[in-house]
Amino acid sequence: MKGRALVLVSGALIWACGCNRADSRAAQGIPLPEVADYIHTVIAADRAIYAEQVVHRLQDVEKVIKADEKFKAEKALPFPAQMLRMGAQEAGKSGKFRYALISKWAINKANQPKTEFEKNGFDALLKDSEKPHTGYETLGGKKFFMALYADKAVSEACIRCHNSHPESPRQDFKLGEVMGGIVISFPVSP
Amino acid sequence: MYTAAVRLTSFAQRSLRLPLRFKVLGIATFLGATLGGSFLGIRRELFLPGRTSNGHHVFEQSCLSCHQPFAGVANPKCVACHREGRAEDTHNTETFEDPRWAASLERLDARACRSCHREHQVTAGGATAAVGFCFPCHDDVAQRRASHAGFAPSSCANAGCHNYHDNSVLNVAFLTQHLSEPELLPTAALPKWGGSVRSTATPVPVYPTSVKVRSEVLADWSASAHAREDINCMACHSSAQGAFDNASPTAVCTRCHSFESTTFSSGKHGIRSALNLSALSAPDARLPMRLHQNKPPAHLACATCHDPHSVDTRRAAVEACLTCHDDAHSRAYRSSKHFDTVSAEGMRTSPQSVTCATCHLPRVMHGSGQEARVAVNHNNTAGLKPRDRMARDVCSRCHGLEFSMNSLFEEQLVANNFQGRPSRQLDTLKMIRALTSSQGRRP
Repeated sequence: MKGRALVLVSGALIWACGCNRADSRAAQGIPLPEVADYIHTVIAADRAIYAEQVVHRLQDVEKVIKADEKFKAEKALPFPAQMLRMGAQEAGKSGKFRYALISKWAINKANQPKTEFEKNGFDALLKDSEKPHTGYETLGGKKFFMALYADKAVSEACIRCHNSHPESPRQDFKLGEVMGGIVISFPVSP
Repeated sequence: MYTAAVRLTSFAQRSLRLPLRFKVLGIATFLGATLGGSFLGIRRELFLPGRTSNGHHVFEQSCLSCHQPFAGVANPKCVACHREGRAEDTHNTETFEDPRWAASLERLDARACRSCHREHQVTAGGATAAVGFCFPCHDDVAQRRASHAGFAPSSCANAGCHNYHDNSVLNVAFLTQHLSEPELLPTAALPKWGGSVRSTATPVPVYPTSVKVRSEVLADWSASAHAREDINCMACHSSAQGAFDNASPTAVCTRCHSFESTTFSSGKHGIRSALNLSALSAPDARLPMRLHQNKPPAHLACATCHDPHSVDTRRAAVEACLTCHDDAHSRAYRSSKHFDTVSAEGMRTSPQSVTCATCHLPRVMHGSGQEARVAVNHNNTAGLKPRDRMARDVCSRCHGLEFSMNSLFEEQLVANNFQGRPSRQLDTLKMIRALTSSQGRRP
């Protein structure tokens, strides 16, 4: 009788622990690095298509309209990097996550790596650009999960502009090289 | 007389003999009534903690236009009015919501308008941030640009080189593009405004026979743009029940002239009405105004400048302005070259004539596609700051940008209504010229 009771109690405990683990996995949801991967995939795909199928095609192939840094004043297309930044600003209004395009060689100083994570992460990307640099960082009293992905020169338009802009700190970029990084951040504490 | 004095003395003596609690209660009631009455509108300015900025003083009695009870002043209240130019904002607040700016925000919280614009502390230019507020973030400018070595921290904006918000004019590409333009452009012309369809039929006023209408009113209307467009009497003089209504409020104009009405409400001329205060009148202004001894000051509404029957825009373009404005710039207008262009046209407004309205209520393209039309922006303050915005949007229709900016930034020329040529060149334009020369680019 005692043995049967012991088996029943043990079974109940094992079941409860199992349920807890399942609940815990469900509560955790998709791991943050994986979510960052999904977001980065969309950002990178949109940017590559915009650079190739919109800017490069209309400006360089069909010569219909040019892209210009002062695109409003010039009634031109925004550069792919500007397009990405505008999207980042719009998405940031949701308050759920943010992303930004940064580079050690940014034309605008505001887009250089700022935080410790960004500075260390950028150096890490230059050593290994195939996998993102991830981690946690506390900014303004809040804790964030951060992921930094290498951003490579995807079209001639990118390197032509950066290599010829009078204020570009580096002017020897080649296609396929790391030009910058896309940093994605989620708040993980209220 | 003697009896009254005795009674008053007696009342005072009796009052002094009252118990302390009644004295305190009496004083508290008096103070409560005075302050409460003031706050409810009699003298609300008693509660102002300091002189209000030049931009806000015309509605300084309307505390709740900026303040939220127990919550201070939040950005949405500012942005609700200050929308103009936000699309071009170099330092828009959304950028700084990104946590990667956290360290910079500890030095200057660029997310909050009031970090730099604290009200009730009047300063030149409207910003209350410490002089050199650019430097906490841009302290390496001399390393990045050799041309900026040795510049004082206060010179970023004071020298006319940079604006914090709108740099759509003050940037290398735009200035370079316009640097070599002549003082007077060969294509000098303002956008052609108007375009009413002149009906071939003689306009016939339609109104109830029971209403007596003065002949001069009929004559004014018959020669008006309203008559040409067949906008008849009842279009404006109709009550909710469809009966003839002699009083035709501003809201009637708004039904057709919504862009003009919206922009009017956004400027200093119309903001009081938009906030449900009594409409602006000359004594409300800080600028010198012409006060007419024999009649009460007019409260600004559409009909103040536009006669509702003749709807004559000529009067609204010069005469209506000078009826009130009495500062040096306004007084000098009639002896300026700009005035000569109007008098040469018989005081008609044309693409070649420059009136007060040409610069302060400029013609702009409104709408898009087939709906696009030249309309008059009635926001009288939109073009005043930054001054380079007026250079781009108004002056450069006729003048080269360099001549326009050199003139607009010279106080003496502004005061005498641009009678003369600019005596100096802005430093920012000299630097652009040097930059383009060093890069072998033709300015």
